[in-house]
Amino acid sequence: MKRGIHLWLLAPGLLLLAMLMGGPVALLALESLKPFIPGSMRPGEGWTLAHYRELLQPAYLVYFWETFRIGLIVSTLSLLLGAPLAFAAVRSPRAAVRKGLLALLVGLLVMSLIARLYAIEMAWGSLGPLAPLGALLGFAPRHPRYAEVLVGIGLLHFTLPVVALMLVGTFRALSPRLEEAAASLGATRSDAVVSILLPLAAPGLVSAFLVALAMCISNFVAPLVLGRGVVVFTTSLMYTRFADIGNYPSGAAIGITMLILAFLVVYGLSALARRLVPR
Amino acid sequence: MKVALDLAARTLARLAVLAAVLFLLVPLLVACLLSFDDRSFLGAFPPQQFSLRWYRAFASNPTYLDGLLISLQLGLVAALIATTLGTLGALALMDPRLAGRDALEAVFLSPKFVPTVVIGFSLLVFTARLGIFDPFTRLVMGHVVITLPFTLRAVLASLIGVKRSQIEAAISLGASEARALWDVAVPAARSGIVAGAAMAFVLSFDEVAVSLFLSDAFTQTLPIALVAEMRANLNLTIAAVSTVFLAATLLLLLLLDRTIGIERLAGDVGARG
Amino acid sequence: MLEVQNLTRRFGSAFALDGASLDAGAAEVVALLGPSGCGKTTTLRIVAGFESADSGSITLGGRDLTRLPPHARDIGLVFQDYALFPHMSVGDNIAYGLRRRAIPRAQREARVAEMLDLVRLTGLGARRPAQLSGGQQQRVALARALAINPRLLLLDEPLSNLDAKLRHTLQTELRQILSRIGTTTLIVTHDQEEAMALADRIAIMSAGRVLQIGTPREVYEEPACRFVAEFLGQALWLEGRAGPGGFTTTAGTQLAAPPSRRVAAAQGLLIRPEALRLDAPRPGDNALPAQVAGHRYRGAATLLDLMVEGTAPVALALPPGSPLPEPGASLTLAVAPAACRIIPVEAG
Repeated sequence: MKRGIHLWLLAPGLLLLAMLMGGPVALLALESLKPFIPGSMRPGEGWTLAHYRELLQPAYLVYFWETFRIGLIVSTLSLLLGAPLAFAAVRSPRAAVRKGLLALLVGLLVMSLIARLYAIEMAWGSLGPLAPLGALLGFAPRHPRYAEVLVGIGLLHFTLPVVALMLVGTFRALSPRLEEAAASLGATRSDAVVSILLPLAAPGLVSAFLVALAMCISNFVAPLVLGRGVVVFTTSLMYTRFADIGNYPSGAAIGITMLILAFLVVYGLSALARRLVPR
Repeated sequence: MKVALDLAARTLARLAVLAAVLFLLVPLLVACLLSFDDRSFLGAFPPQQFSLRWYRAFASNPTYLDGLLISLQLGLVAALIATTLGTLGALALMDPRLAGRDALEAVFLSPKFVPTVVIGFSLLVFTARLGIFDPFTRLVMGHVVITLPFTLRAVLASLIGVKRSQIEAAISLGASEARALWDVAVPAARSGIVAGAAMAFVLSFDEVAVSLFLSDAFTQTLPIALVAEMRANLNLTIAAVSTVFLAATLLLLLLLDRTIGIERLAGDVGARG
Repeated sequence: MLEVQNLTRRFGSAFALDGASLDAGAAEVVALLGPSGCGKTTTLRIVAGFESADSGSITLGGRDLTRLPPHARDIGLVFQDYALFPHMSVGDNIAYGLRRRAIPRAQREARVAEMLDLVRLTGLGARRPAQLSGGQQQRVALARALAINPRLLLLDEPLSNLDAKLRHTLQTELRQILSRIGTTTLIVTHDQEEAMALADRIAIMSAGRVLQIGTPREVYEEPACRFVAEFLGQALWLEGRAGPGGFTTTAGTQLAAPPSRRVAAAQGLLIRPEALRLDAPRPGDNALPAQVAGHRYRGAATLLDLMVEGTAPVALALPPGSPLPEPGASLTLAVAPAACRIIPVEAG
C-alpha cells in the first residue's frame, strides 16, 4: 500500500545510474570484444577475445603486478598509520587532540588531491626538503625508480585520511567499557587494545584495507602526476590506449578487467574476509 | 617487564600518530611556503625572499581562469543534481522494511568502486554513440555519477536518528507518507544534505580522470589545466593555486564545523557498511 | 464502536494473528494484554493501518476501516517510544495533526493550550521535547494524539519506558484523563497491573488469538482457560477430573467445588493462593495437603512457598508475626469450596 512512494523516491537515482553507468559499462564490455582496425576510430566487425588474451602476456601482466604491488604496500602502510591515528582521534583523553585530529582528517578528505600531489612533488621531489628522507627507501631522488616512491607517497596521502576515518567509525562503535573491563581484570592499556579492541575491530580493519587497495589500483592522477612516465598503472595504460593510439577496443578490455578486479577486491575479498573473521 | 612493554607499545603508537600527522601536514606547508617564493624558477628549499608574483601569475592566466569558471559551474550543477537524487534515494532507503534495501543501497554506492577512468571512458563511448558531444553536458553526466554515492551516504547517515515510529506518528495525525517524510525526515537530514552537497562539490571540483575523457580542448576544467601544466613543467603558479585550495578547505571546514560539527561530520563520512 | 473481527496475519509460515477478534464500546477503555510475541502489537498496528491483515475486518463506528490508509483513519496513536518530533516545540508537536487538518491558527492555538492543560503541562508549549522528562514526554505524546479529537485512541505500552514510581503516578493520571475525555481507547500492554488499573475490559491474547475478553474481575475470577488463569496473578492449578459436586485431582484428593460454567473435554481446578488458609478448617471446607518449600521475608508480609501435589510452589502471604512452619513440614490447607473453580484447560 505504501510501496508507491518508495518507488518514486528511488526511481530517479536508479534510472540515472542505469543510464549513465549501467548502459555505458555494458557498451564498453561489448566494445572490448570488437577487433581493432589500426588508424580507424570505428571498431571492426565480428567478435574477438584478442584484447583480453593480449593482457595475459608477460609484457602487460607487469603493469598489473606493478599496480597491485604499490597498492598493497600503500594499503598496508595506511592501515599501520591509520589505526593509531583513528584510535587517538576517538580515545585520546584530551578533547582538543580528538577534535584536532578529526578536523585534519576531514579537512584532507575535502582538500583537492591535485593540490596535495603537487605539494608532495614539492616536498619529496628531487629539490624538496624531504628528498633525503625519501632516499632512505633505496633510490636516490634522481633515480628513475624514485618515481615509485613518489607515487607511493602520493597514494598514501590519498588513502590515509579515508582509512583513518573509516576506523574512527569502527572504534566509535566499540564501547570503552570493554577496555575498562579488561583493565579491571589486570590488562595494561596496550594489552587491552591488542586482546580486546583489535579482534573486535578486525572486520573494520579488513574492509578499510580493502577500500584502500581499491582506491590505489583504480587511481589515475597519482601515477599521472608523480610517475614521471616511469610508473605506469593499469589506469594509465588504459588512458594511453585511448588517447595515444586510439585503440578503443583494447582500452575497453583493460577497463573491464580493472572493473572486475576492483569489484573482486571490494566485494569478493570482503566476503572472504567475513568468512575468515567470524562475527 | 609487563609495564615496560606497555610503555614501549604506547610510545610506538604515539610516534606513529606523530609521524602520520607530520606526513600529512608537512608537504602542504612546504607548498604553501614555496608559493610566496620570489625567485622566478623552482629553486632549492627554503625560499630566501618572498613575494606574491605567483598569485599574480595565476590571476593573469586566462587558461586557469576559464577552467576555474567551468569547474565552479560544473561543481554546482553536479552537486545540485547528485544531492537531490541522493536525498530522495536516502529517504526511501531509510525505511528498514523496504524489501531488498541492502541490495538497492549497494547499487547506489556502486559508482564508488568503479574506477573513475572506466566511468569516464565508458561515458565517452556511450555519449558518442548517442550523439551527445557538448562537453559540459558530458561532464555533468560523469560528475553526477561519481558524486551520487557520497550524497546518498551522507544523507543516509544523518537519517539514522529518525525512527520509523516518528514517520508513523505524523501519518497517524493525518499526514500522507510524502508529507510525513517532508515534515519529519527532511529537517533531520539537513546536516547530511549540507555535508553531502559540500562533498559532491569538492569531489567534482577536483576530478581529473572523468574530466580528461569528457572535456575537449575548449572546455577544460581547472584540474585538467593544472595537471597538464604539472606534467609539462613544474612552476610555482600551481603552488599558489594549492595554497588557495588549502585556504578554501580551511574555510569550508570552519563552515562545516559551525553548521554540523566536526565530530558528527567525521561520523557521517566515516560510517560505512 | 470498534469491532475487530477474525484478523489473521502470517509472517512466512508462522501465524502472528490467527483469527483475533475483539470489540470496544463507546468511551470504553480496553486493554490488550498478553506475553511478548502474542500478536497484540500486530493487532494494534493493523487497527492503526500500518500493517495489513491477510483476512478479517475492522469497523469503527460502523465505518469499515480495513481498506482505509492510516492517515485517513482518525485514530490517535501514542507510540511506545513516544515518537515526538525532536525539531519541533512541544506546542508544534501537539498542533501537527491540526495543521494537517487545516484548522485555522486561532482555533489551533486554543486547542493546543487546552491539551497542555489536560495533561498538566500548561506553559511548556515552547519547550523542545528533549528538554522534558520522560513522564512529561509521555504526556506530550498523549496530548498530540488527543488534539485531533480522534474517534479511537491507541496506546502502545504507554508506561513501559518509565521507572516504577513514576509509572504509578502516571497510571492514576492517565486513568483520569481517559475517563474525562471519554474516547474509546485500546491499550496494548504486557503489564497486567497496568491493564487492571486502566481498562474497563481486558482482552487476553496468546499465540495470535484473543482467549477471553471481560472486566478485570471476570478475567481474574472466571478465567476462560488455564492460560488466562495462570497469566493473571498467582494460580494454584491442579490437574484431575471434574465430577458431580466437585473435582478429583490426579493424586486422588476429593475437593468440593461449584459446577463449571463452561463445558470442556479437559478441565482443571484453579485456586487463587489468597483463598488458602493455614487455620483449622471450618465445616464444609476442603482440606488440601501441602508441603512447606521455604519462606521469604517481604516486609509487609512473609511469603510462604507451598507445594501441593508436586506442583510448582505457590506463595501464600502471611501477616507479620505469624508463626512460620519449618521448611519441609507437611500441613493441611483449608479452602472454601466457593474459591475452587473448575476451569477448561483450553479456551473453547
